[in-house]
Amino acid sequence: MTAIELDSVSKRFGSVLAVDDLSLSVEEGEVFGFLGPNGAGKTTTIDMLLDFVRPTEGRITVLGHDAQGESVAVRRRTGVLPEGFDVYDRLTGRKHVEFAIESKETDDDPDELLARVGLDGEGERKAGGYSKGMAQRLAFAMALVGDPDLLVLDEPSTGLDPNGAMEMREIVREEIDRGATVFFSSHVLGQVEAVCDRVAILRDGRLVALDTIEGLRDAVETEATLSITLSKGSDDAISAVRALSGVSSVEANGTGLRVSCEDGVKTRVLTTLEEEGASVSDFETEEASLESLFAAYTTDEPDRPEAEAKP
Amino acid sequence: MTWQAVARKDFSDAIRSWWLWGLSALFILIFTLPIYFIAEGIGVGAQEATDPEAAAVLTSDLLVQVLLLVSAPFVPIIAIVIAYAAIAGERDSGTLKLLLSLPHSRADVVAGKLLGRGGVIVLPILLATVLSALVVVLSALELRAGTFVQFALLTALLGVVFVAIAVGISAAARTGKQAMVGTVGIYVLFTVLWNSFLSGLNELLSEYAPVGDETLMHLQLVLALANPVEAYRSLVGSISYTEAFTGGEDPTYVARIDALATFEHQLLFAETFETLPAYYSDFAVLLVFVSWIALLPLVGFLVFRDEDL
Repeated sequence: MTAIELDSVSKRFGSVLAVDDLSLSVEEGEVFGFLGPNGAGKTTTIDMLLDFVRPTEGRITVLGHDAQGESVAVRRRTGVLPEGFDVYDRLTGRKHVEFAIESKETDDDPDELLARVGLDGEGERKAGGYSKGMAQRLAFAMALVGDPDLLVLDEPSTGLDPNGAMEMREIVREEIDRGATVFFSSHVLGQVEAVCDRVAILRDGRLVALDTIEGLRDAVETEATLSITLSKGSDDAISAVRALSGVSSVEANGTGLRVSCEDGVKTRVLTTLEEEGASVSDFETEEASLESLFAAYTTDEPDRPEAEAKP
Repeated sequence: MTWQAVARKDFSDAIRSWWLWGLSALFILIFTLPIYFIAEGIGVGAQEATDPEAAAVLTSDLLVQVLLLVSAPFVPIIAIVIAYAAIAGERDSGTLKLLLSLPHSRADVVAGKLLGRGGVIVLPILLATVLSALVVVLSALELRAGTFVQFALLTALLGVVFVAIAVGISAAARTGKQAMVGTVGIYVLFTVLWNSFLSGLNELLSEYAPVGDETLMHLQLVLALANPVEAYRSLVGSISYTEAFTGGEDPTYVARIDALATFEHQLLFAETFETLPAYYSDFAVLLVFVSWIALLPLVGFLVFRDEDL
């Protein structure tokens, strides 16, 4: 069954099109990473799943319910870690979790939940005195109330130190093992790479990639970048390299040369240079990584790789 | 329906407000310290009065009219301070996202806030009136407990009405600042500007509209009583005026006449009505007064329901 379904969803704030004709679906039990730079429309999309914000166009279904008309039913079965939230300064951490338990009408043990997110012993303190990381843990504890079928986590590692982020990933894994669907957003690929079944990359409100991590990796691993230092340059040599099939771009910069090419033609690039009268004094192969792909998708580099969006 | 959960959470949150107890302490102080001396003065006056009619006026009911001078302007301020940020403030800080991440509808939020903060305002009011009654008991004045209880209930209701007004505005406002401007505006309108508005309207209509004096008088009275502060004053007048005080007239009748701003209209009212018509009875006025509790929260909810967070 489908846990989340977005059908041609757009959201306009005044003259700004925050989300542009977005369609995607997340299966039940899937771990879905929602990636993109800040301002790409990730939070707006998540806000629409929860009916914080209403789509200008399109339709959203979450856990079989209309996200707008039946939002309470959606949120009853969903655990949410929102972005840009704050805690109630005057209430204790424990009171927060109790409130979530009361709201979801479950019989969870607040102390157990607090301990699970690493806040044991902090429950009687007023949340106003919590650090950003502790507030994040507290909201996470509230999200876990009632063993939700779906976890929606918006930038979950915000404010957490690396250790805290790791602990949170550990809990997310436990929730996945329990069978929960997880939808989480991040602007850092490293956080999702290890756990996600699939990722979507959003840029300027549009879906630019939708694939498994493996699929994305396959797409990038065919490309490599050669960094070459020439002791003797030659325009002919550079033109010859540019003309080679399998070479996608050549940047010349004094005695330096950067060649993007298929993995298999690296040697031919070097021999062609020597044959055409240039001398190579040094060269280095840069491994194409998922990070560089992500960076290419989400920054304004001119040679962004062409990857198909497959919704 | 999870508004009870929201109300309970909101009550325990708002009850910890420093502002609430700071203002309430001042309110309670005014309701006790000077009141003791006034009660003592009235009590001694009643004992020493040689004229039985004068003695009949000097009761604790007269004291309620003194308390009214404090409660009518003061209670709405406390209510506004504790409730104007109820929803707009949560929007500003981001706690609203945490609240709505849980399975509450926006109607649950408005209803829960109304109930939670309404419960909070009732506490200092009841505390103040109980302490005030205690002070009367300690003074030379005999306490008429029935009037005091009615006064306490009406004052608590005034608090709840203004909490409701503030919650409604808070739901409709985009920011806490907007909500503050809106609620302070309403306060100034009802406590300061209402009479000028009414007299301006009266002049305008008597000048340009082809309506009789009687219609104008009714309009003035209806609009006066539509103002919740004025309705509260008139209701407290009705319960605390004694026949000794009104010179044998029906206290409710006199209290309604008092709500009219001009002497001409007061005279006209007295000429027109031998006894008070049912549509100006305490019950009718109370109904309008109480309807404020639903009105603004409903309007606020309708705006809030359709807004993006």
